Amino acid sequence: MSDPNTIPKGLVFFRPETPLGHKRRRFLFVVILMVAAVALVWPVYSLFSGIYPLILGLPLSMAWIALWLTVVFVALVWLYRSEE
Amino acid sequence: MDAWLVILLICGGYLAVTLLMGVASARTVSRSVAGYVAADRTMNVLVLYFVLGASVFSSFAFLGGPGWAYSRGAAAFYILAYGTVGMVPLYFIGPRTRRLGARFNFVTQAELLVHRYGQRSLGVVLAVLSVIVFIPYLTLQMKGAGYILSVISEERIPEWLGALVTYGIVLVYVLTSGVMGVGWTNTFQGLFMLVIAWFLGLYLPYKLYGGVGAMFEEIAAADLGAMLQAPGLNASGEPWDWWGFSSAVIVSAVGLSMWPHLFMKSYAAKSEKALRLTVVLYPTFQLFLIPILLIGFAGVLAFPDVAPADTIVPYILTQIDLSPVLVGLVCAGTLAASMSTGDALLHAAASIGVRDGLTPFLYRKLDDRTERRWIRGLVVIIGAVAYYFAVVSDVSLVALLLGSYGGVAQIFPLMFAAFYWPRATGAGALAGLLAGIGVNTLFLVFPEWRPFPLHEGIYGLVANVAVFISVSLNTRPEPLEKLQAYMGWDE
Repeated sequence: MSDPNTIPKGLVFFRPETPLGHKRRRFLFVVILMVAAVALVWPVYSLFSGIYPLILGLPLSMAWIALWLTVVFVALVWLYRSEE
Repeated sequence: MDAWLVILLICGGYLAVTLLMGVASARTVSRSVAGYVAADRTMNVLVLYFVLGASVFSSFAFLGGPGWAYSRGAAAFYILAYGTVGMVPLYFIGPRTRRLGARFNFVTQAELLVHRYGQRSLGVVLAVLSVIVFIPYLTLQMKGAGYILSVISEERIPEWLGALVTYGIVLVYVLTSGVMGVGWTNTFQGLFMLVIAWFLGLYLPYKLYGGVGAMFEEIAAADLGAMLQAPGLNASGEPWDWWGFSSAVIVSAVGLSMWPHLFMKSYAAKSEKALRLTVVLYPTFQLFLIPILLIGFAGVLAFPDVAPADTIVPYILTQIDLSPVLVGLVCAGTLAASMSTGDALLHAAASIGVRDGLTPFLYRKLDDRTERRWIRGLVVIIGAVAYYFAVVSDVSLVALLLGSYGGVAQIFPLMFAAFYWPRATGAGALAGLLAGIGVNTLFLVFPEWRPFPLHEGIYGLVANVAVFISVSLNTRPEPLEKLQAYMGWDE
């Protein structure tokens, strides 16, 4: 057990000396991820929940999710490459 | 040669290759607990990729996924949606988990939480939760395997025998090779599943309607067009509400990376880089749900009124004029989907049962060999219990499994805070977890008590986080030195 006053009160995501570029990229990535999550639920998804237009043969409601799967994949590749 | 014989020979060939690979892989790891449970922390990207993908997608994906698309239309897109974001947390917490595992010799998910929060009872709660959830999950995999062999052989192979043979093989390679057996066989099984799903998902719409686009145009023009409109239909065929769809996506996405049998593969990774790359590549596996759902949609107009909906895949296979070689391959693919999840569950349940539920409470410490023997013993016991439920008992398990996502999601706040909220305390974690599981279970059993028609897991998460934060702020935190290891400050 330790004295509560010596422990940071809030959330700590990075080590103190983490380079600013690294922090910014991770922040941007999490924003993209949150946008994807919001796009897949009500109310945003309800705007793209119809059947037409068919995209690559798939109804819009299905293609919309496939699109966000692709966006998240591309963002992950970008983040991974920038951190190697 | 009779068609059914060709089909069974192909399934037999698949089972033989699986058995050989599973047993041969024993030679690649040490004969220790770390070797048996965490592959000596040496798994490469290829194996990890297929372990993660093939363990997530079970016989539910191969039989239930098309069944949902067939009967509930766009509602099935929720499976596609939650996996889009659900695995990503492992990109951030996986590498830290791996590092701490190597440093403190963890091999299960609960060991990390018990150490971080200094709270042994957390391990017991998680061990009980895991086993309660894993046994029905495993039982459903056995039922799926027995079912597909029985249908395809025109009932020459009874379900009990099909389940016994396939899971007898799983038992042999899990016993001999542990997680490496799971890894090597999942690589083969996962590849098999991907090829079969993509082939069948594109071929069926083409054969029955002349193409994927043509198929959806026909469905949209028919009376059933409304099913393609998200969020699809509910179980009774009425339009599903957005509350239900959205909250199911959120709870499942939060829970996905927390499944203990998936999470603990972080320890097995060869390096942090290998683990990150695996998470990066996971969406390419997730994409195979598209052809999986297309298989179900292909049945909508061509074969109306098939019940139960889960039987749509074998139904289509037996109705259209497909070469027996192809039917055999699809059957083997379904077995692969069942076994690649079943083996990981069996292995994880036994490892967790012994490491988290038993050894912390023994009077003396077990030596490595004895501990490994106990894990193997529990593998046999859990396999037998699941088999009993699969063939003898008539308890309905699907509901229990669908309800379990809400329970597993309750682990997420604890895991997140373990790494990112140093002020989180053991008392807070335990109280939050119990509150979350309690509220989740309450609304699972009494859904009519929910104030809004949201997934019960959401209420559990709200209670969990609220209790976790308030109790933590009023109890004393863990030593700073330990917290620094979790925050990544002492590297």
